[in-house]
Amino acid sequence: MAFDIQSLVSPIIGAMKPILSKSWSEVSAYAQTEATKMAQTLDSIAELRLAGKIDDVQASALLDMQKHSMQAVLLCVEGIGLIAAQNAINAALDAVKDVVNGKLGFALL
Amino acid sequence: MPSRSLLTRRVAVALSTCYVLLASSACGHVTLISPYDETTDKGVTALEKSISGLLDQLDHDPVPDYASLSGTYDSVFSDLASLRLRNDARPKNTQTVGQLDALRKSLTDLRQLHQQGKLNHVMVGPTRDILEQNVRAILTLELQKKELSP
Repeated sequence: MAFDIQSLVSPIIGAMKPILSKSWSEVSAYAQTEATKMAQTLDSIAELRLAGKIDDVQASALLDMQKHSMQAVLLCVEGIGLIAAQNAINAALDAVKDVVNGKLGFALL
Repeated sequence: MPSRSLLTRRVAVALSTCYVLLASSACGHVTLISPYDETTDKGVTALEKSISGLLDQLDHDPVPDYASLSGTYDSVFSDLASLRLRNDARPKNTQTVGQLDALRKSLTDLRQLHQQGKLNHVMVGPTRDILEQNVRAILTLELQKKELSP
């Protein structure tokens, strides 16, 4: 083996953890806020229908629009996840770059 | 003259080195998603203002007829199409393109309701909330790219 594997694992995890923690706190706050807003909108649609202020066709149209919006929210969550993964991978590579390159004698990373 | 097995081994090492060098020239940092784009940031903010303007015009009882606002709808869709074109051209940007498509679908639903005479005043409030949520999702992702860049 070229490396003591365990000696690489620790700096990799150490580099990734704060990035993933920060991203999780950002995305969970966002998801919570948007889920609440979504629930409020669905409640409004239901209330309007029950009060007879909109008919089934109108309620369905509003629900369709809400579904499209939910899709946009979930794509945002997915995107934030990709940003976090990207940053975590790159931080991990940076954390072990000197050790790996030093061992190999050229700049692999 | 080196033996055949030594020669074979030397060729194998040379080929492996070449492969690693080629691979390492593409190595370095990984990109999983397109970076922050200021034009998109500004474009989405401007689009939000256009959509808000349309909804302000709709927010009357009774809702104005479609013909009086068809130009406003056309303008909103045109701005949206430009944003989509730009973002479709950016690599690793499927999330933002998907979000813009979701927004286009909702705006299409709104326009169709209006054209069919099925849009009434009480629907404008929930519609505004829904469209704002969609726009906010697009902006949030773009700004996160900026904020979370190392």
